[in-house]
Amino acid sequence: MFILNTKPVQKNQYIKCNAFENLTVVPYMRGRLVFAELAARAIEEGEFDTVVVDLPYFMNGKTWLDIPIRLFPYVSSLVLKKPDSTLINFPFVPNDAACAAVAAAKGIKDGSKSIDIQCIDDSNVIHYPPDCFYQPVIRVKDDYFVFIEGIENYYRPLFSQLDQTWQQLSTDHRFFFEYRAGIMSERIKECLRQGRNTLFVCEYRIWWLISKLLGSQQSGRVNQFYYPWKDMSAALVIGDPYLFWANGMLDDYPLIVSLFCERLHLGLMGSFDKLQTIDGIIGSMIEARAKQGLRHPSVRELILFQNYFTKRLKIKRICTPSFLSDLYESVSSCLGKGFAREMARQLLNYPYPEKDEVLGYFNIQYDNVIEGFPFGLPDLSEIACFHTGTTVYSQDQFYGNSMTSNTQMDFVSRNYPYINKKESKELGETSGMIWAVAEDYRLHETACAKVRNIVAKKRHKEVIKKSHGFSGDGIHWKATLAARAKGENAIYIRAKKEPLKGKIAVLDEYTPVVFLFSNEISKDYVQTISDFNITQRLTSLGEEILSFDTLPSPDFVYSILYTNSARQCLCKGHISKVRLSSIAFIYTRYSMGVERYTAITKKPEKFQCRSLPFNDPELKGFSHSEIGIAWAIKYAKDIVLIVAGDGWKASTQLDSFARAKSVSINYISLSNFSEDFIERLRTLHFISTFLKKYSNCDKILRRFLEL
Amino acid sequence: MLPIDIENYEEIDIQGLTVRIPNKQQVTESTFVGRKEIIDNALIAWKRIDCLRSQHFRLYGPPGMGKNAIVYELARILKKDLYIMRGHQCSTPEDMSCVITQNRNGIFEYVATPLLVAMLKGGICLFDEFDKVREDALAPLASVLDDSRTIVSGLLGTTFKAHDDFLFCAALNEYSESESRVREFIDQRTSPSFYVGYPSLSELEEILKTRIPISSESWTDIFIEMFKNIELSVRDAINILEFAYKKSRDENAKLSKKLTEKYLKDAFNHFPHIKSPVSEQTKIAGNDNVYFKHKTGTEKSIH
Repeated sequence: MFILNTKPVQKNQYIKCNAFENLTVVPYMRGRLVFAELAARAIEEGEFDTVVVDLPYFMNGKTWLDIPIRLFPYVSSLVLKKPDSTLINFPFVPNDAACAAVAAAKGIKDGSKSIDIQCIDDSNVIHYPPDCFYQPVIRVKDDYFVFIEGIENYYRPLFSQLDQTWQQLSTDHRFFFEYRAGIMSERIKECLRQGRNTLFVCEYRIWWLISKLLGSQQSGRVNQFYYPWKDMSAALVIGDPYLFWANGMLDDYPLIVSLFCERLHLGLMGSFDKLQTIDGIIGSMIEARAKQGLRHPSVRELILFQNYFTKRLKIKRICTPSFLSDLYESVSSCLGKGFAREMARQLLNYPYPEKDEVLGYFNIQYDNVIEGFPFGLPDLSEIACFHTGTTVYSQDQFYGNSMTSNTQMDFVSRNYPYINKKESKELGETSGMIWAVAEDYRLHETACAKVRNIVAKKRHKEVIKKSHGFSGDGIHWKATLAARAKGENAIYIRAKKEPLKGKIAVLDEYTPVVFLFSNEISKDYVQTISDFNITQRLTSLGEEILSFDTLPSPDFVYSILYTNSARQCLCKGHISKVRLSSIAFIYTRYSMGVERYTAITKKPEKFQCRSLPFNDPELKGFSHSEIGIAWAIKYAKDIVLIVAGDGWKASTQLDSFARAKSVSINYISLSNFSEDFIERLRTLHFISTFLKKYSNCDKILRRFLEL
Repeated sequence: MLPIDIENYEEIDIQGLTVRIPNKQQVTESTFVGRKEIIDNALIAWKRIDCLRSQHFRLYGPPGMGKNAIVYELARILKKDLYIMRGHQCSTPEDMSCVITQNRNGIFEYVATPLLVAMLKGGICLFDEFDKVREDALAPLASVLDDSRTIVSGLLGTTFKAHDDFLFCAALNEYSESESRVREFIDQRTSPSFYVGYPSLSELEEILKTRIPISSESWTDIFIEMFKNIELSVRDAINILEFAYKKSRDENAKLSKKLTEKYLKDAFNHFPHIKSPVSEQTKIAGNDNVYFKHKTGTEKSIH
């Protein structure tokens, strides 16, 4: 158990209205899953005849509400076009309590029991003056505390804040707020007069005022004002769940919302708990990795993580960790970036729609929705939200969560490989040449530099010798004290043993390096990567060359040879991911393209490879597991560095070939590198020509690359 | 072994042996800006709550990002003494607890390491350049960093237990963090690890304005505008700005925006290790010469 909550929880939380004994209320915070759970539970477990929600009155029309609700888990937006042509966005998400209540009630309705659903919010809210939508920012505690403290105790300080801010609101704002609450309270009373057992699911700010009106028998300015309705056009648009999540509309963890939705459809709210579900997912991940034989966190690491993570939550006084700043950060710091990324991908997983963007155009009447006519739709992120009048979805500020939508969107880009609809439309064909990726080459350079470093260090062994006035690399105190104890008046120092001159092979970027990751290479494909000169490069990219006069003849050299068994296609085929069994470099700097070609061709021709290894008669006879080494030996000056598993030895054939070429083979164990690093090193990525030239290439690559 | 000036060191007696102990690091009172999240995370790691003990951590990232500065700030916040241990390739296991050096009179004296002093006094030990130390040299740290919190000194012939308030952190470069498995036994004992990366533009601007209070704020504004597309370490940014400013003062230049940009550009040219952003042309053609007309999108004019 990582997300420790040792306090007892009471899941069935609602408010019984004092003024009306057949009225039960679940006040909610917009978009918060905990309250959606409360509402759904209440409907499943309670015996309600009517469910009243604070959705606009026009949504009562026939079966219109079925369309967005039955889409769940897909998220959608009702984009309303006002008479003055401004647009308003009304999102439908399963983690919103009103939407969840409707979904739960419809689920039961479709079964044996009939539950009436009433939408009672004033349809005219959309036409209220813009200033009247201002909502004071309320500082709220972690919503999970509603299960621990009880719903009334949870809301008590929030209602106090609302009491205090009430007088600070403008006269107009107070007027419209009371007017709206008055309409809703009259509609509730109408339901209650029928004697039906009613569940009211309402945003807590509105409930705060409605409860006062219900308690005082006031009408709340309903009779003081009449606002004529104006019909509007609207479009129901299927949404991008990651944009929704970045804007705070999809609660904290998209996967948890998706799992909640499954339980909602099945009517199994009883066993759902947000924190336990997150915990279970992390635990299952660790188990799965262990079962697959992959590197998984050790017991010590898990204890460290739990220690650090628990302290974070206790200091912030929260039960629900924030996805980025608490959970991801703690996992990344204690269990490694690779594990954190995998966890992020799992928790970000949410059904992404393949359907057309606009599901229908409508005409919104005061109490009904009918078919309408199309109109132009801009980027939804620029449209104001129905409930706040701004692009901000909710004015509830949770302690300790200060992530902006840009930060969250960037997080999705970095961790969850997907392409949005715009990119999907713009990305063209995948045919043509494929191109290596700079990030892989940077990694290769780092790895090869480390290999050279290890070999260089091994050459200079340390010896302990008596000093004759020279301090060397420092006094060796043990040897000195031991000598003094024997009566020898000498100082012993550390010194490096220099190898004999004339036999040292230079280690630089032209020193071939071969990595052997697997022993089972015999059936793998042997592939090469080439580097082009400018003419060849431009031709391969499909660029129209203005004049060939100033350009050299097309040419290329091979600098990398690899073996692989499988290739995975991602991003609609524009990115391929190859898992290597071996890779050999005859040039190890990270430069690419023409720069790389230029660097390689500086060397004498005998060190440049222009023929495919499997067509080279000199390399025939070598198996797939040795062809990379043989190829490296052929183009080496005097030394080749091999990085392989423990116990690797060159075959007689390789040894003879190396001797014939006057090349020495130096072996280093793969165990000098961390497992995470090796895993990353044995992954190679390629992109299509189209993606290479696409403007958003870097952004897309970051989502798919294992960095 | 580097010579140490031990004349001003305090002396303590350990089992009849006189041992010199180094002075704490001078941490000046100064305004530290930015890196709030890292500092908060580090404080959480070091905090003791209920039965949850303080944890050692490590900071990693490219050079010049302010890893040491962050630890200085932590020492200021916690009002604790800071001792800095610097790792190098020649370190040996004995160098972790106690070394012997020669004083001015040619007499060999025992000198406790900053790590040992921090353990004894309950201070903070920052182990800088942690990755440069050989694996075998780090072996004594295993017992320091786990539940036993002890270190064995072969030279002094005794085992020392850390003070309850002893705190430890390490600093290392980014590539060692990802590539090496040599120190896995230490890696687990110094988790969590916090990445100290390139600051955002707004953070960098704040840091520059605090560290280099040049009377004209336009220097910083122009600097930020000029270098907004280049990844600059904090150290490089400070050095470029300082160098440019000092040069303009030295030449008594009457500054305009253009002249300020010139000084900054000239200063930047003295930092060849910083990579300029690659132009679109270079990305495709591999160099800056004009050979072709873009087929995708509109025709581009590239110079």
